Amino acid sequence: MKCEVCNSAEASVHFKQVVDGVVRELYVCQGCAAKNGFDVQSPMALTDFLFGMGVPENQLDPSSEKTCPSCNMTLGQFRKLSRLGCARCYETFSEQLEPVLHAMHRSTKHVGKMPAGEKLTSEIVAMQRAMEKAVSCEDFEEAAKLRDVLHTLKADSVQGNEGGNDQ
Amino acid sequence: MIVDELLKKPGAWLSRDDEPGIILSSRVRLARNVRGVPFPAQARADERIRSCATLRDACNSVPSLVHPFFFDMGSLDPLDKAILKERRLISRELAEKGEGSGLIVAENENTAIMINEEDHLRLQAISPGADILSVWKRVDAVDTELESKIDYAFSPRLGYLTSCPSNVGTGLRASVMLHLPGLHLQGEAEAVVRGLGKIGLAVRGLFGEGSQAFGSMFQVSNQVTLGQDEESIIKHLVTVIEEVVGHERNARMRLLENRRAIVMDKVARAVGILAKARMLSSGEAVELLSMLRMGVEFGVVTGVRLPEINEIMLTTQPGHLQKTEKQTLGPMERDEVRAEIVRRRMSDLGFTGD
Repeated sequence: MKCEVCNSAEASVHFKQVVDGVVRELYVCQGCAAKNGFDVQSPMALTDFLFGMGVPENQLDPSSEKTCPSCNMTLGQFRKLSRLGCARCYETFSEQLEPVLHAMHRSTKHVGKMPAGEKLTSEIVAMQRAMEKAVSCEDFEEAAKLRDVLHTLKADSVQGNEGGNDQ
Repeated sequence: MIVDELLKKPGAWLSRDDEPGIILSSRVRLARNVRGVPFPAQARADERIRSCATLRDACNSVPSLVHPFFFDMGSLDPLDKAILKERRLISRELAEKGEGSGLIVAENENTAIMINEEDHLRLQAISPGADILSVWKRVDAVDTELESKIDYAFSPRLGYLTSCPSNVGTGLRASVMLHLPGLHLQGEAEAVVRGLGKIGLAVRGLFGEGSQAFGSMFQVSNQVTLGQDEESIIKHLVTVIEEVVGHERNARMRLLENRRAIVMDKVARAVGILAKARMLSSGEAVELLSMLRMGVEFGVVTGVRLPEINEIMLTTQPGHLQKTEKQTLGPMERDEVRAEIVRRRMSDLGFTGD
């Protein structure tokens, strides 16, 4: 199989990205991989490589280029630096980021530590969903139990916020 | 506290005890950012200066950072920055920054926070030896204390948001520094390094740039930060490191059994050069001190303890060397002064090279 970048040398590096069930594959030769700074050892290089490979520079229309409303970083800058400008950029460039995150981490979902406030919020959301489900199944006993837990969580959340304001 | 004060103490990452040797130190860092503030590289200079001051105040009031001290990157000279770098308190990237970036370090140097490096905050903790779990707990405690003072940029789906997507999620990089002369001399180090790369760990030389590792010292760290929780990341690293340590022990045993003369020769040459040389580059010094270290660990050299070797290794780094000599020296002069310091230390320890 020929390299999909230079179309001459034999491809020996294979990229496979699965995003929302859509498989994207890319076959490149050693030379093109090296030229684009690809190094399996380095996650940084992998970012640069994946950002650089997707769309050729000349296909980007600068006038319609995606720009982060918060920090004004453009898609072009982002691809060049392979660094984001602000937290909002994760939403702005989510489409470009998904395959990169997947290639780097084999995951696109955080598990692990979260700030205390966030943890409470996510518990409340989960509890609310469970309660709605119980109601729709007409399991009112369960729904009432969940409602009480929810009340306690919400009270904690308000208290937590007040505590935060004190500091 | 000024940088000179640090010179009176050994670095936090270098042991003061006779540790078993293979695992030199354990380190964990967390990348954190503030909600609603552009990441340092995208922020204007005045925004960076303002956020640095706010973050400095927040970090200074964290109870678990004992007697914190702030170093402003805008007012440190290059030599002071080199010393902080050699003590593993700041990165090359932070050293290159000026006003609007800084370092908060606890008095005992085992916990520190870089402000406005690639991310707003890089919380880091380090300890000598194989202590990664308690190092994680220490940095986790600082992080938890800070989160009540700082509104972190966090997304329920992607976790802690960072400037580079390679850090997003936990923002955690755990690393262990290893001394692997056994594998190195058996010609097996490269295969082990390659193997580690295949299971998602990054390996680089502790001294020297790129893949060139001086003194058989390697830094191994996790690459994945998203989709695994902190404890799993650390447990995976610990399991793998235990295996590498096993390989190193095995390699050392085989070396002593089958190639004892070669080991003795390497160690004796190292002692001889360290005691007699008139010029020593920092790379050569690290290389020879690594062999001396191996000799002590193998029990074939007596009269010097590992902490003393650690101390020589740190004080002969270019920054420390020039600070102690109170002058800026060119590379040639440094090599001469380095050889002199090492010669004196070796003579004090009773190694005359004769």
